[in-house]
Amino acid sequence: MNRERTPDKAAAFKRVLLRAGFWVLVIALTFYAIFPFYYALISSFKPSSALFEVSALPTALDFSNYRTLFAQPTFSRSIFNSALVAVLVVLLALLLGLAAAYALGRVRFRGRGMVMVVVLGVSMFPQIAVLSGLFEVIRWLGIYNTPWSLVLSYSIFTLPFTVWVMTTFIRQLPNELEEAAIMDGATPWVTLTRVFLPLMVPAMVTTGLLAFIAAWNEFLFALTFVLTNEQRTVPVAIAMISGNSQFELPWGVLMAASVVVTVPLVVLVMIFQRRIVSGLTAGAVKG
Amino acid sequence: MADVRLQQVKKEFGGNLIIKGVDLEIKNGEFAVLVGPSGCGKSTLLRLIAGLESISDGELHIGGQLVNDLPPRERGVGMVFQSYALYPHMTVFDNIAFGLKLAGQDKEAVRQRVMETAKILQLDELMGRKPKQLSGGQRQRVAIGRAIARESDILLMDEPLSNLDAALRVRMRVEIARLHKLLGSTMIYVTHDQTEAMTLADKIVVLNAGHIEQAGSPRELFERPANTFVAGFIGSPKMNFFDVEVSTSDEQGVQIQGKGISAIRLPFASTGGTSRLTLGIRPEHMQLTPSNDQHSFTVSNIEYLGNEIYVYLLPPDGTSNLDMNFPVCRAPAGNELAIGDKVAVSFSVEHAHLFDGDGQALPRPGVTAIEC
Amino acid sequence: MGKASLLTSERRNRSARGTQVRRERVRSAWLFLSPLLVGLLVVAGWPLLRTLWFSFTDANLTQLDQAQWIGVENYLYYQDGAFYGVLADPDWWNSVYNTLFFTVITVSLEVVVGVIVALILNANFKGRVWVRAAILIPWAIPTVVSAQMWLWMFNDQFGIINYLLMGVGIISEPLAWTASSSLSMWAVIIVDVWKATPFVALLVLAAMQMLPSDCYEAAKVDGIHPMRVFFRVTLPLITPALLVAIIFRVLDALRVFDLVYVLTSNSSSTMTMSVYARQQLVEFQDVGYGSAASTILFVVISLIAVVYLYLGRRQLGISS
Repeated sequence: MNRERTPDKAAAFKRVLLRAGFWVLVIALTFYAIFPFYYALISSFKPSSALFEVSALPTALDFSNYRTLFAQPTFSRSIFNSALVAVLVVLLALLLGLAAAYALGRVRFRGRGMVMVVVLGVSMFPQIAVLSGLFEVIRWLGIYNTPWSLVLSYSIFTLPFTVWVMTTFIRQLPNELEEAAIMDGATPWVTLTRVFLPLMVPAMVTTGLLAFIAAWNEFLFALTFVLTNEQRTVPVAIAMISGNSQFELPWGVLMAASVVVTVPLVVLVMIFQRRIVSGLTAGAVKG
Repeated sequence: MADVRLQQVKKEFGGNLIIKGVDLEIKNGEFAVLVGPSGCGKSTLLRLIAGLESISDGELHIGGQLVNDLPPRERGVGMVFQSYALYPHMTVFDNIAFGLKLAGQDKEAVRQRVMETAKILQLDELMGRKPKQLSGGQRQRVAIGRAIARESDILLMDEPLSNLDAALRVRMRVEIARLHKLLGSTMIYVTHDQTEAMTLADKIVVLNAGHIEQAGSPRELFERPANTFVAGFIGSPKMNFFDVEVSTSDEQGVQIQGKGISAIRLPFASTGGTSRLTLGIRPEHMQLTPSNDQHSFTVSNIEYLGNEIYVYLLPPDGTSNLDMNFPVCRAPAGNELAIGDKVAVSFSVEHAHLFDGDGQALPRPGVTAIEC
Repeated sequence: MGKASLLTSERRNRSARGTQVRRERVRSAWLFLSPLLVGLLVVAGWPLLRTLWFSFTDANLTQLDQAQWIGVENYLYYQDGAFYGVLADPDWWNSVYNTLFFTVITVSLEVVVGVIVALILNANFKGRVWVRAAILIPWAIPTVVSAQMWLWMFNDQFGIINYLLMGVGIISEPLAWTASSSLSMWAVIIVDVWKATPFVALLVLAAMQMLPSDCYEAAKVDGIHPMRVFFRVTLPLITPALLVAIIFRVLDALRVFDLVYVLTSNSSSTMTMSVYARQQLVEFQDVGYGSAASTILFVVISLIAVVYLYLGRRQLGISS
C-alpha cells in the first residue's frame, strides 16, 4: 500500500467495506437458511418445563422428547413406512425411467416429441386433479390403506421427473459408443443394460436421490390414501401429532420428530450436494 | 471372399442427396482409402458400408451378397471409430471380448481369441486396464483389436489416426500397414490426410460433393489425375493451374500459350473442341531461371523449409489475385533467388497436364493406364 | 427434378422404413417406453378422465360406483332465483383470490431473492460449498416438517419471532401469526419463500456459471459499473433459466396444498384452490363437487402451461 496517496487509501477502505458487507450478506443468508432447523434442534433438547422460556441459544441437552417420541410405536413404524415407500418408488422410477430415457434420448422415431410433451405435461399435473380418479383406481386394485397405494400414486411425479432428467443425461453419452456396440452385434436391450447402464450409474444416483426426497416428503396422497396409524408415513404422522387440546401441542416432541425426519435428508444433502444440484438443474437449464 | 461392390449407391438426408450414386469396387484384400474435403460424404459412405446408415437407393454387395438390409453384425465388418469409442467401464480384455461374447462363443474360445488378438497388437500387458488408464496410442490399438477380434473379412476405419500427435501418427500408420499384410483382410479407410492415403492405399477413392472424382492407385492419381479437382487435391503444395489458349491443334499435339507461358507444343490428342484450356504443373516440376523478359514472373515470397524452398510467384501483368492462388514452385534450398527477382518458368513436356473447360483431363495419345 | 427423383418408388418406401437396425431400434424404443406409458396412463391419464367424469355426477366418496350424471350442476346451475355450483360459491372465488395472491407474491419474492442468492454464490469465496449446502436444507426439509418448525417459531406466546420482534421494539404485543386473518397469509408466504428460494437460486446459479467470462473481463477493463453489467449483461443472459424457474414455481404455487393445510388448516383467509377442492372431496365427501373444482384448477394450470410452452417454443427450439 502506498501510504502517501490518499485516493489509494480511500479505495482500499471502500474495498474493505465492500468485503465486509459481502460477508455480512453471506452470514445472513446462511443464518436465514438454517435457523429454523437449528431452532427445532435446540428446542427438541429442552425438557418441557424449559420449552416456554424463549431463547435463541441452546440451554439444555435433554433427551426426554426423543424418548417420548419413540415410546409411541406408531412413530417408528411411520419411519419404516416412509423408507419402504421411498425406496420402492425410487427403484420403480429408475427402472422405468432408464428404459424410457434410452428410447427418448437415443432413438429417433415418430411420436418421440409427443411422448416428451406428455411426460412434461404430467409433471405439471396438480395432484388434486387426479385425487378422486386415483382413489377409485387404488380401491379397485385393493391397495387402499397399504404402502402400495403410495408407491403407485407417487409415480405421477417421480416418473416424469426421472425420465426427463435421465433423458438429458443419456443424451450426453457419445454416439460412437452406441455405434460401436451395434458393430459388436449388440441389440438395443444389450446396449442399454451392458453399455449404458454402467455409465448411467452417477446419473441414476442423482435422480434416485431427488426421487427419494420427493417421495419421503409427500403429503397429500399419504394423507388421502392411507387411513390407519400403522400405515402412515412420517409427514402425515407429524402433521397428526397433537396434544390433549389444540392449545397444548407437545412442541418438544413435535420438534424432536421434525429433527428425526430431517436429519437423514440433511446428511444426504451434505454428502451429495453436487449431484443434487446437477440433477435439479439438468432438465431445466438446457431446456 | 470379401470384396465390396457398390452400384449406384445413394444416400438421402431430409431431401438432400449426400451420396449421389456411387459405383465402386474394392477387391478382396485390397486397402482402399476414401479421401476428400470435409463434407464430401466419405464418412457417410463408410457408415453405409458398415450398416450404421441405411442406403436410400442402389445396391451394396459384400462377398457377392446383397447386404442393403443386413444389420452390421451380419455383414462381417469390423469398425474402428475416430474417437475409439471404447467402453469406458470395461477392461481392455472385456472391450475386445464384448463382440465375441455377444456372438455366443463359449468362454474359453473367447479368451483364446482375445489373447491372440492382444498378441498381434502387443496388448498382452494391458488386458486388465480400463481405457482411461491407457495412452492415446494404446487406446487406438484396443479399438483396432476390438474390430479385428471377430475375424471380420472387412475392416472399416474412420479417421483412426486423427486424434494422435504427429509422431505417434506415423508409427501407427506403419503399424496399420503391417496389420493389413498380416491379416490380409479388405480395408476401407477414411482420412483427410493425403499422406496417409498415399502411403497406405492400394486404391485411393477421391470423393467430392457426394460423388467419386477418381479411383485408382496412388501413382495413377498423382501422375494421371482425371480432372482439376483430383489434380489439385493430391500433392502438396497443390498443383499450379494456368489459363492458356490453344493456337493450333492437330493429331500430333496441341500448341498452347498463356501469360508468362511461352508458346509450347504438348503431346495431347485433342483439345476437346475448346480454345481455352487449363495447364497444370506440379510445384516440383517447375524450373525457374532468371529472366529480364517483360512476360516473366516476379518472385513475391519465399518460404524456407530446410531441405528446400517454396517460391511464390506473381504473374507477369502484376495483378496480385486476392485469393492468394499464386503459382508456387519447389526449389533446392541452395537456390540464390530473392524476392522481387524476375524469373521465367520452364517445365518438361511429360509433366504437363491439360484440362478442358470442364476441368476434365485431355487424353494423351499412346499412353494407356499406368501399370501398378 | 433433381437426382432424388431417380429413386424408384419401391426403394423410396424401403428407405423410409430404414434398415433392419433402424426398425429394430424403433421397435425397441416403443417396447422400452411401454411400461412408462402404461404407468402414466394408470396414475395420470385414467384418473384425470375419471375426475372429469365425476365432475359431471353426484358422486359420493363412500359410494363412487353409484354416481349419477347430473350435467354441469356441479359447476353452475340456476334454481329459484339463485345460482349454485362451484362457480357461484364465494368460498371458491375466495380461494382463487388467495391462490393468485399467494402465487404472485411468492414467485416475485423468490425470483428477486433467488437472483441475489445466486449472485452471492457465484462470487468466489472461502466456504462457498458450505453455504450452498446450507441453502439446500430448506429445500430438502419436508414441507410438513418445515411448516411445523415455523409454526413453533410463529407461536404467539412462546415463538421466537414474536420474542425477537418485541425485543427490538418493532411490536409491542405478541402477534397471532397463523391465527389472525390478516397475518396468516403472510406467514404462509414467508415459509414458502424460505423453502422455495433455494430452487430458484440454484437454477439461476447454474445458468450464471455457464456464462462466458470474457464478457465480464471486457466490462471490467472498460470500467463499467457492476450494477450496469448485471442489468445489461447478466440479466439478459440468465433470462431463459429464470423463465424456467418461474414456470416451475408458478405451477407449484398454483397447486399449493400441504404448506397451507398444515400451517393454517382449512382457514378461509388462506384457503387455496387445492385445499378447497380437497375439503369438498374428502371432508365433505362430495366427489362430484370437489372434482368440478379440481377440474377447473387443472384447466387453469394447463392453460398457463400451454401459453408458456407456446411462448417459449422458439427458445426451446433453439436449445434442442
